[in-house]
Amino acid sequence: MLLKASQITKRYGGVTALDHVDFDMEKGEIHGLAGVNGCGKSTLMKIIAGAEHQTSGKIYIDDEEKPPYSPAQAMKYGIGIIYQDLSLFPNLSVFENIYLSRVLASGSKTVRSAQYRAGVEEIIKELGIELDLDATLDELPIAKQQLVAIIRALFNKTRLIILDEPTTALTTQEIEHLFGILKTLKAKGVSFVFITHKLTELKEVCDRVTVFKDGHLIGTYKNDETLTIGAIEKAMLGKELTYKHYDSNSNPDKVLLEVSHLSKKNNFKDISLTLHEGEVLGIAGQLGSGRTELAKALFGAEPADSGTIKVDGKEVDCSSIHSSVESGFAYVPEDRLALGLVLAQSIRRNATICSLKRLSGLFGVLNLKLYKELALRLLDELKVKYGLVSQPISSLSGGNQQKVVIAKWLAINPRILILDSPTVGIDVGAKSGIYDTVHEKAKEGMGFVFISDELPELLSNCDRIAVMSHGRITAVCNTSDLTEEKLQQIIAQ
Amino acid sequence: MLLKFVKSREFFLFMFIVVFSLAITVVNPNFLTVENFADLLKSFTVLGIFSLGVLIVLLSGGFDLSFTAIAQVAQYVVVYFFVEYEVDNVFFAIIATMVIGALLGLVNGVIIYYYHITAIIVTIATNSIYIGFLYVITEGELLYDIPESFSFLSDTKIFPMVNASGAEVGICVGTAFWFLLCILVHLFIKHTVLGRSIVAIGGNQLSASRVGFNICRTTLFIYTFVGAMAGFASLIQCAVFQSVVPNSMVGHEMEVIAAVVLGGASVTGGRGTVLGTFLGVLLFAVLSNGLTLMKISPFFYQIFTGIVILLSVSVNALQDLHRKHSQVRVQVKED
Amino acid sequence: MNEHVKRRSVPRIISENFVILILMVAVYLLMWAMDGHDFVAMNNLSSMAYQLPILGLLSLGMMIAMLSGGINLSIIATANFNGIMIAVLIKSMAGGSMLDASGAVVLLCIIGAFICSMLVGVINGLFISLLKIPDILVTLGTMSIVGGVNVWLTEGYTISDFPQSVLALGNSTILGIPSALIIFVIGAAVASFILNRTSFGHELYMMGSNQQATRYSNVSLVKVTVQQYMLSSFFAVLCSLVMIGQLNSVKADYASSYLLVSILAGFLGNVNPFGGFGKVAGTVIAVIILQFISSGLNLMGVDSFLITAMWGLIIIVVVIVKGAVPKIKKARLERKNSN
Repeated sequence: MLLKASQITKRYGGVTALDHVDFDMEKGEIHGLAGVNGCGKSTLMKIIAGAEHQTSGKIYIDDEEKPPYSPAQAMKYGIGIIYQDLSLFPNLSVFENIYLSRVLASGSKTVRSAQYRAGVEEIIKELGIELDLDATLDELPIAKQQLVAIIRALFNKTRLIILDEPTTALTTQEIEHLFGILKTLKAKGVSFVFITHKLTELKEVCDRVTVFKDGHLIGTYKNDETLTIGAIEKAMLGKELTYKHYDSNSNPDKVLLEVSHLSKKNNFKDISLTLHEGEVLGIAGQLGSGRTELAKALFGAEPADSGTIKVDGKEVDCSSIHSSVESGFAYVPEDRLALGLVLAQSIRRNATICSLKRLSGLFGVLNLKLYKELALRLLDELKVKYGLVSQPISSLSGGNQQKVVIAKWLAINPRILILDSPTVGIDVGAKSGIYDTVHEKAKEGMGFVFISDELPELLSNCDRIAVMSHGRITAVCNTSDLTEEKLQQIIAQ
Repeated sequence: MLLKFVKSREFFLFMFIVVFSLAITVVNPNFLTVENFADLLKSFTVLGIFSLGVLIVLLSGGFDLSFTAIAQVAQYVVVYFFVEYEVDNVFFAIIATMVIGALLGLVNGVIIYYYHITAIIVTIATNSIYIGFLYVITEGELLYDIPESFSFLSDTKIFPMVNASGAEVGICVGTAFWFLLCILVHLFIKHTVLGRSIVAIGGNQLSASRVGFNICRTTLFIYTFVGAMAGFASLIQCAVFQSVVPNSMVGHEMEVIAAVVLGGASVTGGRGTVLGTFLGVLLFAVLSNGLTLMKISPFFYQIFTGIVILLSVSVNALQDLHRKHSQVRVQVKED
Repeated sequence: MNEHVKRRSVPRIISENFVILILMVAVYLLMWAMDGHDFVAMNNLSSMAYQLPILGLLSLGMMIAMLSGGINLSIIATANFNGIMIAVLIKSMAGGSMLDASGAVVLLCIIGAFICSMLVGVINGLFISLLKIPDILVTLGTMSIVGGVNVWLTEGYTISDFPQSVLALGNSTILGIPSALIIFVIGAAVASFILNRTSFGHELYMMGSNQQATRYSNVSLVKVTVQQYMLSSFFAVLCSLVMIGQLNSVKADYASSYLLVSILAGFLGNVNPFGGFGKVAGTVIAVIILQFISSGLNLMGVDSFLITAMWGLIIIVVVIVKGAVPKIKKARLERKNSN
């Protein structure tokens, strides 16, 4: 057995992150890990990679017990981890990114790169990819950078590569390509741990799947016909996620938003769509289909080059966030932690940031009474669970954080709210809370553009679904005519 | 490859220097003489050596505002004791200034590394500590009695030439040391593990520690190195001016940083070359000399410096914005 | 509902600044112990009341720049620029001697200089926000340009003999209280009000912690940054009026040693050097502490350069103490866990 972790427990202060977990890896295996954020899967991987040390429990490598080791030691054992941020150097060349860690491990004081060139080129050839070794890393697209990280691991003779959410920033084709490479390497005896929150990917590429919940290992399952996505989901969440059916609030007589021939170079092209009052319009499409770019253009964050946008039949200006918001748009971004929230600042400041202008009078002087009331009202309305409004928003759970992002926009009553993957990484309770809020507001006439990867989510919430691919809208369907399989087919076309 | 060079900051600076030099020569033919150039290089040698230290710090993503104070202390201590004990050996002096500078720089490194505090604040603090104590202890007294051997750095020429009036002209030893250091630092950055780790840390410190670079050793080295460079520069400074004035260099930190930034180094770390830095210093030299030769009031020099800084960083910023704007986000299917 | 759970027995201004308040008292007692009666004597207190506003106003201006994680290196150049512009404008309008200028001319010139100084703030703000250049580089550039203009306008000399109406702003007393101190107190109150009670203040704090998320909340970064640096310049202007009143002259390199001290005041006053956090009260208390130290040492006849060295040492001590506190806390927590 390549690796065996036995009865691993990890405590941080008073919190138990891992509780007596058993885990093992075979040679030439792809092992998927699933679980919501904070379930302990990342902690276990950090321990295996040497970045953290277990409070108790043992790790065996090649059936030999190893005392807690450092990342450098892990590398010598042949274990490497590729974090989501890839841990590469944007300012160095691709070649250097690959060989530098090898130089470090050799203990040499000087860098003689020529001796590594042949080895690196051979790996690239084996993988059957094209890579300009002399390019500066930050000139490469993210998918290529990912390959650089993998090649670096291989070049360090890594036998077990841990991939932490490797697919989040990749397009469909890039993911397929990555999976192809994983399978090639698997055949050569390299093992992978594959962490992802996209369960379809686990199903597609893994040999075994292990599910974590609240620091416990729920189970390790062989990936055969008997293992369904629903079963994994149930193990992850402790209960099955059911999608409610919502009645449509769409008013087909009143067109709220009309987008025609909207284009932006290198982002999307010739987008035309309509949104009715009270309608929830879903946008399906893989990463890199242009869906987020379209949302950002409507929101004015990265304006389109050409085309017209009409709200209530009047053409509006969306050339800046300010003018878009004036025209009635609001946007809940995909990247909640970087763009949705100011994590270090208080819950109240985050909740009221969009309403400051409305709360202030002459010279921008705030009406403190209204300001405090508004914050409490908003948090109450969305049923956010919090301690004190003055606490940093980072103290809230992901679901409650997302509710605050939505609340800050609802406070200014936008006509159209664009939700970009609003339920990624949040718990079931918060998810259904968000769905309820969407339909409540739709009843009042607000229009929604709902972007998501989760097809069941789209099918249960949207009145119509537009499918995007390669920067274009390829189909618009009524949800009532759709099933998940059908939608899947349309997206894949 | 060639295209890349033509588009590079170094090429741009070089062309600018050439064009500007030609313009000055048209106004004043005295500019393009060996004599003037050697003098110019000599008077910018100190700045040039400082800039090598600063380049290393900026490359690593750090910052240092204390190197001038370090230089003042090293210079004063060495000259004072060498005169006191009648040691008249320039090579000992070089070693002594560099060791003192290195130790004072190491103090910065230790505080910055172990207390994870912004380098800017730490080095502003140590700057005032060093200068404050220097003044308190010396009572601000000037030293005019410089050991004779020091003039080896400023007066001895390598490859001397004789000009029309019979005087010896040429590059002085101090300037030659500067050139030598440029080459050494370039080789160091490009070809040693420590040098690469400085660049890597400047690119992404978290990645660097994950990959296994020794952040502690590198950080300590960086600030020690700036200190040592500052010490060495200070010795040349006192050889050139034949005096030790406790406030002759302090306050000019920003000029050095400006020259390095002008040379293409980024204050956020990870980017910068020795050649760029060298050209940055050279451009400053040509500008200041040119303004003098063109009989433009020296009061304008500072204004000019400011404008050059703003312009050069603006060009960088615009390039970055453009690159970001034209990035391909989605492979759009065309008709 | 949650708001009322926690009862507040001490005002926030005390609880938030507890450590530095203690430090202030300790420094006061220490200086008293060392200088004896001289330190608490009326003339020392009043001389502190005259000196404190200059550093205080600069520190407030610096603190506002630090709220977005930057440093306004150009602040002292701006202060000198404002004073020099007043002098130059009055001279040119009154024809030679400033003493002949009428009240209206003086007022006009002060306004003119004010506009010029604000322009410096606008330029800083625009370069930082539009071109996304690190603030330290922008203000380094403007420091150099404005400082150069100062030298050029004055040719390196001192310009003195301001008309009484200008001097009165910084050098008179109202009910026995120096006007400079009043300007400082009002300035601090205004700064506090702007930061805590206006939409700009809230946006500034948010921007200091996360620029992009703030932009995605319909806040114009350009507007906030320009306002921020205008406000920073505004405090430089106030400082310059006080300086003119007390020195009756302007020069290109006045107060240049205060750049460090104003950063120190922010740092000591718990302004986060990475941005997003920092209060006027903390900065003011820090300024008072620094003033106690400098006056106290002065009375002891300590060399002014030793005082400079002291500033540096204080920063280092603060850094070390701040670094030690979390470590002690962590060690205590771990001990608790192991039990």
